[in-house]
Amino acid sequence: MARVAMPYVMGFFADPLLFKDACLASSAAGHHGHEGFAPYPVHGLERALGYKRSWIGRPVLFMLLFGAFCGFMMQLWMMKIDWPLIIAGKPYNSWPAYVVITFESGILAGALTNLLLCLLVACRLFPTPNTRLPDDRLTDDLFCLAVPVTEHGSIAQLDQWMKERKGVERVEHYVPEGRLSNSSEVAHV
Amino acid sequence: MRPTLAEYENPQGTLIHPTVTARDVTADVIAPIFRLPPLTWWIGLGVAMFFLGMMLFTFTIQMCEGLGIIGLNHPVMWGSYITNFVFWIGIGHAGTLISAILFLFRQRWRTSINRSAEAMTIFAVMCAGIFPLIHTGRPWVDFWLFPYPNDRALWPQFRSPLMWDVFAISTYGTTSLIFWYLGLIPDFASVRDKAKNPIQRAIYSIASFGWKGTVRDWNHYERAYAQFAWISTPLVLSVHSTVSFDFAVSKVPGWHTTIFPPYFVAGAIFGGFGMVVFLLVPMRKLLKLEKYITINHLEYCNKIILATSMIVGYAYAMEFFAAWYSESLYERSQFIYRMTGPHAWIFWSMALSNCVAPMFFWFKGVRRSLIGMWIISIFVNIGMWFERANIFMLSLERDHLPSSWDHWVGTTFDWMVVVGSFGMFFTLFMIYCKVMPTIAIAEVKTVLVNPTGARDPADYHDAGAPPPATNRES
Repeated sequence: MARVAMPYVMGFFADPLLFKDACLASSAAGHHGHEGFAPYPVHGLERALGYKRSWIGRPVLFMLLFGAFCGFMMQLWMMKIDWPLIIAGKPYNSWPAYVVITFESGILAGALTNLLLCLLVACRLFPTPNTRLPDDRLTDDLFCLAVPVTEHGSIAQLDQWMKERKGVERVEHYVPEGRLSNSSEVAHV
Repeated sequence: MRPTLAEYENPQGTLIHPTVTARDVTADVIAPIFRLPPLTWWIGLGVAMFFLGMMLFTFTIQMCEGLGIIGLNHPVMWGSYITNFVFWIGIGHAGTLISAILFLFRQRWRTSINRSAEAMTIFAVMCAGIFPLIHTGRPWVDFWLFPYPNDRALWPQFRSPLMWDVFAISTYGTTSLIFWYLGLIPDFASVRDKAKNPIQRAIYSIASFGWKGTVRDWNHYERAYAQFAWISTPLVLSVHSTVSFDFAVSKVPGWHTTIFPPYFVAGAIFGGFGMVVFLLVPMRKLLKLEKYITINHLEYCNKIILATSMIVGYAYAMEFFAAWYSESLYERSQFIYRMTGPHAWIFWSMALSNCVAPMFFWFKGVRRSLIGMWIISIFVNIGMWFERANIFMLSLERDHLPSSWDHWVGTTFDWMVVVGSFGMFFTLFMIYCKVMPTIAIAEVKTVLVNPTGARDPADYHDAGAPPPATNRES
């Protein structure tokens, strides 16, 4: 959210269903760049906010297959090309015996790619000692819908729109200086 | 009026009592991290560390004196160490089964127990991994097992099942660890945001990878989690199959059988669930988590123990049938030896513990009795250790060459290592109970009937929400 320096109007909800309704309303109202915070996954929230299905599936599948290919080729090269040895009368390319390590190499490559791609690339997360959320309850039982104030609207308009949402507990504004202030203060900005 | 503990433990028609809210989940699961542990925890940790010390002491002596200090002889070259190895690898399987396979089958009861079961997997794999490494006799050169460019220009022998094991176990350990860690990230964030101490907050902030819980993040996270489940499912089935190849591809009587892979996997799940029940029954009491790990959850575990017990019993019977039907004298004599030889007590202990004791789970009263299930889980664990001893040691005692026949007799060091491996496992598990959320907070919240506590569940249903969470996902 803080990647773009623009004011945000944030509505806090306790009820996941009403929060989802607010997300749907935000999408219907054409709010671009809106974001939601949820303490736990709620079915359909990403679609309510207009997000597409996560893209990380295909790269992981590719790395899984690539890892398996590399695992097989490693064994083939070592056993047949680099130092060919006849062991127990088996052929140099004893491919059935290479299946296990081929499989494990693919799994390992896929699993590591899955983790790193999800955290570092897709979610852009990085270990940091001072993570702060707009409200500590956002990892407990509170939901938040943050709508950016673009040139097409004003804080007052969005504030009013947010307050009209059913189930909203409170509305706050985020201003680029990094200061959280309540709606009455920002009304004078 | 608040429900009683008995009502919390026996929710009717839901997985977790309908009065439990999302805020309750966070508070109850995180509470043990912030409060001083009870005296029982310190005593348990002390005992576990004492046993761990016994194992480390034995390993130190072995470094100085060599492998001769344990009860290996010719032909029993694989004794208690390999028995421990296979036992602990098997224990780990329940965690992956719960976290991956039950996830794919949409078994929502897994949410209360998957975290601890996965932790159990990690610690069991750590225990298991030690044994083949120390069994090489020169563990300081164990890195020779991995293919790396070296001065001798030699490569590992990839046609050997022992090399398959190196890759299978290391992949299994790594994948299980990162799968577990991915699940922990949102929960570490919950701990971070409840921490009052700035140092604690910083530590959990780093551990949570700066998790913010945006819907965009959840979108990717859930996809990654599901992919881990897809990746881990064939992995968990393959790992114990690979372990069984260590034996099945040899020609030793009692080992050379095609039934080993499914037999080992079923046994691993059986033993793993035995350990899950053994751990969860006291853990839920000590950490005051009876609301979340209910009798219903434990009953599901007991049903799996019952089912896998019958699979394992069938495999035992098929081993005997195959030995008889094969008309191989060596095979037949091996199985007669197991039943009637000087170590027949190992076989009969295994049969009693794995095939008879779990049959009490046919009775609902036993399935839902904490004491009953805990006692049976102990039998299962003992039985599974004896199963491995029965397969490995007794088969090696009687190979194809009668002049080489001998008996395995464990030394004090053998038994110190057996007990010590349990010490290592419980040391790690008890530390985990203190510093990490033992229940998947974010996942449990998804099965709550009324997460806000503000509504009547009937209203929730009217509002278009899914019906009250039961085991099967709607």
